[in-house]
Amino acid sequence: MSRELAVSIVGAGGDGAVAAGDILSMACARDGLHVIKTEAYGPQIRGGESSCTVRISSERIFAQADLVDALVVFSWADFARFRSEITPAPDAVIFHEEKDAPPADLSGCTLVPIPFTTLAREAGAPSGKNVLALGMISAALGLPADSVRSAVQHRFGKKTAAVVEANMKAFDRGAEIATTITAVTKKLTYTPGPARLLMSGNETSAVAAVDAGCRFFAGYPITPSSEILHFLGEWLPRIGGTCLQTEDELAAIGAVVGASFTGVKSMTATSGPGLSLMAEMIGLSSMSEVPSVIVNVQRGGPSTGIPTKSEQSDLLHTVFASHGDTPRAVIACSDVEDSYHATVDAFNIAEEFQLPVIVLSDQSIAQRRETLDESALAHEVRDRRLATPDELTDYLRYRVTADGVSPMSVPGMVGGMYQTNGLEHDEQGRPSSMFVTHEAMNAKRYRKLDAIAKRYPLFRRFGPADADLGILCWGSAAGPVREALEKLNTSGLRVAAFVPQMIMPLPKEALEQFVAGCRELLVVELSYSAQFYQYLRTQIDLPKSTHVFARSGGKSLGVHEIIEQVARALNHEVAVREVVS
Amino acid sequence: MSSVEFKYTANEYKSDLKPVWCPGCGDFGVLNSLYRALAELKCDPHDTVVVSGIGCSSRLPGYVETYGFNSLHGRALPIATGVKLAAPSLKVVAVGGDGDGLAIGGNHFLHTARRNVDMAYIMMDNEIYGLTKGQAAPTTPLGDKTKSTTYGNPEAAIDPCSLAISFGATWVARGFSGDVKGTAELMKQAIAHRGFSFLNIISPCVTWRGDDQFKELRAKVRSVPHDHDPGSRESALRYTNEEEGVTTGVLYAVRHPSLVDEMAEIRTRAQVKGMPSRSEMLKSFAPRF
Repeated sequence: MSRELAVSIVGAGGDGAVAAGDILSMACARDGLHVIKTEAYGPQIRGGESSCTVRISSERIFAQADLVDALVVFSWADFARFRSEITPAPDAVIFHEEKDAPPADLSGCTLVPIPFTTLAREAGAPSGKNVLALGMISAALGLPADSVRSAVQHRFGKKTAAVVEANMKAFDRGAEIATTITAVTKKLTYTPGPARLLMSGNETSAVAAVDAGCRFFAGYPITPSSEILHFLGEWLPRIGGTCLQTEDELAAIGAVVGASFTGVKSMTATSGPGLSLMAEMIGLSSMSEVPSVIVNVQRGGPSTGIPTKSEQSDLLHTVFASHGDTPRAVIACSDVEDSYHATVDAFNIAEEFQLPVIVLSDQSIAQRRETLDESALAHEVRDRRLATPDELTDYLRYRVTADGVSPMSVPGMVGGMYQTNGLEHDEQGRPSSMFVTHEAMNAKRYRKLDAIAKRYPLFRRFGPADADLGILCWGSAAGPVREALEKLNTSGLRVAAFVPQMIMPLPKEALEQFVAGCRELLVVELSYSAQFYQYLRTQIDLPKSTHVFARSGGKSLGVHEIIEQVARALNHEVAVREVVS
Repeated sequence: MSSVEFKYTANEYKSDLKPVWCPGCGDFGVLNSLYRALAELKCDPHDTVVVSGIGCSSRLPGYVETYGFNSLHGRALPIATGVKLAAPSLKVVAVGGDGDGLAIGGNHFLHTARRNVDMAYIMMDNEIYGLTKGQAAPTTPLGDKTKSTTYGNPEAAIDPCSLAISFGATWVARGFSGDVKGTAELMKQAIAHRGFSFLNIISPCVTWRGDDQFKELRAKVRSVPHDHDPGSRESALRYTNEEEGVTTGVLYAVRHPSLVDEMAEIRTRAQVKGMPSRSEMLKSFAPRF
């Protein structure tokens, strides 16, 4: 009996592994369970091997599956391709195609051969072995079988009655087979609750944009951010907005800055290579003080890198992208729900402080689906401060103010005419190459960061005060770190974690307090060159003895991996890293 | 300034900023034509946005008393597209040079024309990079010596008008900055056109292309013949890539729905069942069985 369970389904193209995972996740969401669902594919555009992993729990979870308790393997050859991403627990149960001989290295696991193909054919659904497997694991593993069955029915609802009937027969046959399986020891126990939503980080970001009042989106397709373009392409026209697919990322951010200049809240979304192309326009948005929101969904890099997998290696680029002294804000999101709040905050900050704000997400949270409560999708929305009629007499668009924010006029406002400029300019917006103007305007623009730091000192802190070891991490690393801490704290180790959500400007005061309160520090991140560690060193004083666990992305951070690194750090086995510069 | 007192005279569109251009620059003529065109069309300054990229000619928005955006090298068109799509009631005029629009911004020229975004795009064509002090542009004639082509330009020049026509611009004309009145007339049509209008203005650079530019051009310039049919692409292309002479006037003019129209149509179709509620938006993420 267990309060949580992780299931992987692996197969070739056409085996329906991902479809089965979708159905299972939706069924669990219906019964009020907590789910984190991830998918992995081979390199083929269509078809090819695929896998789906669903972590199910009766309590809130923050990380994707680390060790998998149960697997359905339609083909061992396909399983081998995901070997580095799917790790069966030592006591895992593996249901595999009977005629396919298992590899030798899984001897500790319970192997249950099932003639999936034959049974599905017998049930009259030759392509329904995924449904048969669903019926079987639902019954065998204590999953919400009634909801899974309804979900299957719903999924095939639009097909002919014969197809629906065959699939339901396959499902029931699977459930019947389950009664003969005695090898399963770990079953899910839970109390059904009200249904939850099932969303990805890209989807919550897109919904957040709509809620924040965004009515213009321009983007260029790029993995793993395109779902934002898809969603807003469908929804913005419905609510009176506009979505434009541009010729490249230069045009995408250009159109966003143009639209925002007219007073319409605007956004684009991209990934690392696209952000590189947007770098120059980030400078313009900052210099001209025209608000812009950019969602950057990180993937393995540099160059094309690993487009379908996660990494935290755009950090320095995002924080420093562009040329010159370019104030911008960067907010990181650490899970699907967080992507919603980070995106609304990004609009609030961009609009109020008239500067570019980048939401820094990554593939693992942007594309995985998580359950969440609809009530969680709420966040205060703030609007741009437009120039008042009084301010429009002898109007100064770039008036030097205490917090750096100047009254903004938009086209259509009589008396608000000004020329916005990428050239350095005076308070009126007139080009200037004078040192005194440049210095005064730089100071004005940077004062906005001070104001943002005061108003938005966003961070999360987990674990006890006065910790023996403090973990510093950000973004998607927060989930597995949080779960690792729960286990470590339960076992009596005093380990805490600090996760800045505001990356630029950092919540320095709280961060420095945390650092001062920990005996030792461990930085955890998915960046080979330890970009987070490098960045922290530019912002605060870190003790010389700081341990750094930094590795490439391409494989998500595991809870057990963190626990192991914590143990090594406490034994001084994690290298105190000399940063590659 | 309040709209009540505004009398729509060319002078009122002049800002108090003094142009940085060299004495004798062709862009002065273009600027004067624009003041006239805006005045004659009675464009309200607060409802007009002039967008530019970077270059000598891209300084122009600062000299016009409307809303203005002097943006990045090559990016005037994406910015202008955002302005127009977000606020379709605004009059949008994009301006810039031949290097800005054909080299670094060439891709945007293609796609903005193809999309038929409602705006007038005025290209001040001086066949050279002036601001960076005299390097070859995509319009510099083959063989010409410039700061960056010591042994003569090894590349053939392109004709912006032939590009605009093949890219799908729905209104294409060529003007000459020495003819302020004629160019103002072309600008009026360009601004009034519903869709993407492209106006290539030969605007000589006396600093890097020689003092005789105006004289030479005046001898070459001729108006498009009266019997020319601007609805015919074949006929229009006859006045591009000309071996001799420079033909000015409206070369091409057709009507197609603009991107603003298409986006409005999409909104109508998307809202066939009325504007959805927020909970409808979240429905696809909820279990529905």
